[in-house]
Amino acid sequence: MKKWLIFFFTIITIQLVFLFIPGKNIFLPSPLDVFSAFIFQLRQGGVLLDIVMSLKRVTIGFVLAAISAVPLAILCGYSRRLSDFIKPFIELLRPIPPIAWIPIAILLFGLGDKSSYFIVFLGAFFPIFTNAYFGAVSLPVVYKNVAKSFEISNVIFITKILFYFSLPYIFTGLKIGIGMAWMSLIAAELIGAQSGLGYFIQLNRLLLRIDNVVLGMVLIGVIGFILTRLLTVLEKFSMPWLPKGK
Amino acid sequence: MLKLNNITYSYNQNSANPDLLLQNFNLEILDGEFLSLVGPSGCGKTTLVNIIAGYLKPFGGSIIIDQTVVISPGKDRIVINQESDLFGWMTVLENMEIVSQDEVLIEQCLRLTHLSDFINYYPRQLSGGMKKRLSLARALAANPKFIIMDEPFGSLDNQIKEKLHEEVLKIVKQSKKTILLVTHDIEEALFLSDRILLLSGKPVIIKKEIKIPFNYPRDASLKDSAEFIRLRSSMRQAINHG
Repeated sequence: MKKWLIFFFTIITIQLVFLFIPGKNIFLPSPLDVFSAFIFQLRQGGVLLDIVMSLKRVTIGFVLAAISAVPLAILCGYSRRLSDFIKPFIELLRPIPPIAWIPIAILLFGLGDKSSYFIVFLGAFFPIFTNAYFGAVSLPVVYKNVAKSFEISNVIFITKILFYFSLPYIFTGLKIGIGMAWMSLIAAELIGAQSGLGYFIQLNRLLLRIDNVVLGMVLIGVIGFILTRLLTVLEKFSMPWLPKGK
Repeated sequence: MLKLNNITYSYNQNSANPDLLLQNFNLEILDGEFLSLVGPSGCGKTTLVNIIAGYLKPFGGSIIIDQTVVISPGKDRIVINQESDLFGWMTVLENMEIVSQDEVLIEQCLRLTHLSDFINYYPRQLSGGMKKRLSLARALAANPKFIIMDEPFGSLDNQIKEKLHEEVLKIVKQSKKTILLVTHDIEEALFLSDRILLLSGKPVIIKKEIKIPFNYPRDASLKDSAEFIRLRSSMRQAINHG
């Protein structure tokens, strides 16, 4: 509650600066201008469609990244041989920013949604993989020994021990991944899309509607924040064995 | 019977002058007995446990269980560690079910360790003593021939430890399992064991063998008896003065 009060106090302070200090609001819109733009856009409905399009792209790309990165990372954590084979490719591709893939994505998938899914996938895949892999290789020797002594099968070991031990690391990766996915998507939409919040910002930049540009930025921040909070709720729900507050 | 035959081990066995931790080490554990290995920290007790459990391969020698040479870990020898080896993300019941599908046996083991009312608890919700009892219950659920305890009570405070000693003793005598306890706590070994081997040196040698004359059941008052005190001081002397 306290942090929200501080947040609203900051917004009100910025608004007061715009009201009482003349000349400060020549180029940048005040919080009230952005809010008015938001109400206008809501009435028109245009920005809602852009939000839906962006969310659809980020969801599909992110889910594809999660369902491929997590099992691959767990298997790499389990099998040294697989890890030795996969890791060099991961290390080679990981430093390339998703935005650098945009031309390749357009060549491979055209200007449609598929390119966006691909860019989002690349943005989310590496942080999810890296964190899940780190979790899997951190499994204490004592658990491996217990599994050997009790003759626990490989499938049970991977699905019930390695996966669950790595789950807190996986969620850390997912939370970083969703932020990266969102950032990659906006970059992709700025260049190669006809809808979405990135496109909304780009269009309004050309129309010199800076209030809408800032509105687009604020919406990106708010939606990113909501997505991370949703993952935090899912994390708490998925790991009831952790003490509350962790 | 579990027999160690000329076990030799070194952590740097590939070097020209390997620093031998175990050299032609021999040991016999009889069926149904409670044997304790007592020695100072760092004398190689845990290495010995890891070799018996099959986690480490000896440089030379063999481990024989009932005339069969064993080379890898298995359900016939279960280790209970000092550090918690329970799966923290599983409830008490799930920790049991992952090692055994025998529901009747699981129920028996939980009842024996007084954990039947806590099956839906996670390990973090249990006390230190209850966690140890769960480790023991899980070991019993695998129906092993040998249970190897590597300083299992080391992390507990004295009050809990004393109570747990009595409980563990009752449980293992009821279950008729063969127990190998590794500890540096003389009193603990005296209270629990049928036989104690004092270890020392590098490479490890058996310095002294002590047969414990106390009958079962035992309770904490045994520790105040003259014979217990005499044995304790003789063991202390043997450890300190060779």
